[in-house]
Amino acid sequence: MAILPPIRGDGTPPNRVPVQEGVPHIHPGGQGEFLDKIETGEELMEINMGPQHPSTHGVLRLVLSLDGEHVRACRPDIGYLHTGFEKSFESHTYQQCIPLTDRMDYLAPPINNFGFALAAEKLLEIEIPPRGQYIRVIVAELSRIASHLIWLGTHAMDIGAVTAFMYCWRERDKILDIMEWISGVRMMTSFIRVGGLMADVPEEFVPMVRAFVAEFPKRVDEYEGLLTANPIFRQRTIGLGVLDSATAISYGCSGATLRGSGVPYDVRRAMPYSGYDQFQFDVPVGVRGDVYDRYLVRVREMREACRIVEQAVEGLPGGPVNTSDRKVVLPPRTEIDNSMESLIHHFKISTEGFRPPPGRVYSAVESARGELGFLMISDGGNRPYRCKVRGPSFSNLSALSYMVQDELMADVVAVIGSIDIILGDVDR
Amino acid sequence: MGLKSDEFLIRRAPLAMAARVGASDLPAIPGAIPAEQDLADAAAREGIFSTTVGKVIAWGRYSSIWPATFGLACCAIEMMGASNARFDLARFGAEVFRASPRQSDLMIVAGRVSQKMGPVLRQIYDQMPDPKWVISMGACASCGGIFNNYAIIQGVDKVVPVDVYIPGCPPRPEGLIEAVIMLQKKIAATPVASIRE
Amino acid sequence: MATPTPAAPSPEGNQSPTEGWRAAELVARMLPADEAEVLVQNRQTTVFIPVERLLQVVQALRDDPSAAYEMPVTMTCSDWPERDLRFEVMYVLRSLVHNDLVTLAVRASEETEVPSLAGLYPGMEWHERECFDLFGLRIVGHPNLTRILLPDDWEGHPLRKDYVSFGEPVAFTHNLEWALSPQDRPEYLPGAIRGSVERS
Repeated sequence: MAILPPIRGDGTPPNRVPVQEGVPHIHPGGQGEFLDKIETGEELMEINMGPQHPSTHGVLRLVLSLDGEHVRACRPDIGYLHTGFEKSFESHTYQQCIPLTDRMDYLAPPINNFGFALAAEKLLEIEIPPRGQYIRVIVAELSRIASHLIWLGTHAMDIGAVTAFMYCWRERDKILDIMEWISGVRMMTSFIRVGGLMADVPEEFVPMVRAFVAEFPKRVDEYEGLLTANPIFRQRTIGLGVLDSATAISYGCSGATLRGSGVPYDVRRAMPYSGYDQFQFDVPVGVRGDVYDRYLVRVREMREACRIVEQAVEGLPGGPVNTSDRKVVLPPRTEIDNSMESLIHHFKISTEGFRPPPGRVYSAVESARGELGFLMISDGGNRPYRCKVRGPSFSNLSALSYMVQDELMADVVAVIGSIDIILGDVDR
Repeated sequence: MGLKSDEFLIRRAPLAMAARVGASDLPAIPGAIPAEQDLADAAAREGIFSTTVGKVIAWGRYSSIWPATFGLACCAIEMMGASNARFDLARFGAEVFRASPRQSDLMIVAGRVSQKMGPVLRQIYDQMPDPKWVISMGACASCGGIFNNYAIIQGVDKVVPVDVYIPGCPPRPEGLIEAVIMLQKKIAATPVASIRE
Repeated sequence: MATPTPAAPSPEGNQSPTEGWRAAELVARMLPADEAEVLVQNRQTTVFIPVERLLQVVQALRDDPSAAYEMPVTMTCSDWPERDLRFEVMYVLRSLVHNDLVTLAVRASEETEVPSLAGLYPGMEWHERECFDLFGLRIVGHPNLTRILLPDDWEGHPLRKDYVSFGEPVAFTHNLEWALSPQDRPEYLPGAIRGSVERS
């Protein structure tokens, strides 16, 4: 067992940041002094939380060392969802890897496809036409909204607000309807592929997205009306799980976990891809780095993603969606009947796939959880020689033991929810 | 629910038959046993119905199945979707997802089971009290799915006995509802050995 | 693999700069030319250094204000079994201040003791455990070097190229004899069984 860090302060609960003036605040009943005397002790109790647990958001096991109700040490035990993705990538062709990537971050599958496709396209040195780029952005932002909706529903449900769970799924089902319309599958779409997309979107896509974008901001207002000024929610989240910016950076945190601590790092801004530099959007940043700030950052991110979708769908250009490089993307069926070359390309792509030149690249996208990176090494064959997936939740979760230090056991659940982990990214 | 009306002997007696109480095609013989139909009608009007104990127990069991939360991966999201407002699993009695296996009777294995998770799965199954059922939701739980490698157990039926398998990756929420209905039919058809169970 | 270039390109004109040039320049200042190799591919820099210099270089990359790579992005290995130094350990570091990214690479064999960076970057702790778990990389100075993704009693290191990853044979109608054990084999497909016997 690791050496336990010293107990901070004198053992009493840490002071919470006081809430703002003008907002109704219910003072908690005073903590009984009797209870405090019992809590402060020298013996620590080790308890096990998970892997089967309603609030760990997946199969995560935490070994907590408790002093009464305060957590003195937290050791996450992961690997309960280890699927061997990286080994599987080495035995599948690049296009065959796309359905595998869907299942890693399974709350926003198109973003995984996006990251893998971008990395492979960098190795192949091909460009995607603008229509393909815009549709990729729309699909990625819609799935970011869908992922944040699940986060909000489950996080609020863990804190106690069960209504949010039901409300968020209402919007998520609308997004999944759009995904089903374009790709046939609700969740694991495999829509964004190496070289472009699965196919061009049907004509109902634009009206459906417009309808969604028109009414989504009102829904976010509903969710905020339930939670943001709610004194119970604020009391449970303000001042909890504070992560300062230097610690967050040194743990490799990214996404809302890092932005909640005040660091304005967003991969879409730092290293723009697929036309993101053409859209106007804000990157919300928190102040204190507590659970409440991360909540505000993600809710604001939902609004910004809706803004990006609106801009993209209004400015959607025409033209092809896939690259014209016939060695990568299947030629259209009519061409196969007329051209011998296209027939051969079709045969080669369907049987052995394309072969990127030898090289290596690290390509990152901003997933709903943070920086999702693919370090891809090609040896010239039709399968990735090594494809390392940098899951954002892996690094974000390593900061958990820092964040729950000296917090109450009941608050561990709120902190886990605020990091927004997904075990598919952590364990791969 | 697929149960035929003559399995339950609750019947609403039409008013027209009220006049036929005691009457039958046979001439009235003192001490004769009246026809089953009329007896049933008479009893039903009094609020008495007859069935077997086994059927009632089975009806109670399948009408309020309490699943244990065993969502592992992607299928868990569709399971959450199935319990939400659009595809409402609560209509079929399976509303209360219990966190503790000691209080549940259905384990929906939703997601891929890794080698590290296998013993945990078995332990949770063993902690559930009888009668218990297992639904293996999705391709990964049924047969290992698309992951035919070192890390994933190729089908949870290597670890726990499974009653219903749902194909799909992930199955639609309606697929889960279909599986619950199929399980309800299975429970209805299961003979209950003794009343003491 | 492309031939390594000895000098790092600096930003010039309207061409967007290669990512990681600051690290390449810093390493070129610190180490003699025969110890460091710089590889530039797809406008990204990979710097190869000997394992003995790893801690020194990473400390400089983190603390020197001209480089300031303060965020550990990831760490991984790739396995090239035909080489003597079969593992290529790669550390990806990001500089938020300068908006820069570099991959630092170290070649190691199965017995090479790679120093741990967990003291410099707390985020590397779990990444190093993962490399130990999946590759069997020997890391020294790590606070808790145990398996992280696989069960503690697992034997072998799956992401090595000589580890055969296999779940279960898939049973089609033509390979029932091979794929299924005798009690699982169905009786009702005589043509299939006969066909597979004929082929063998």
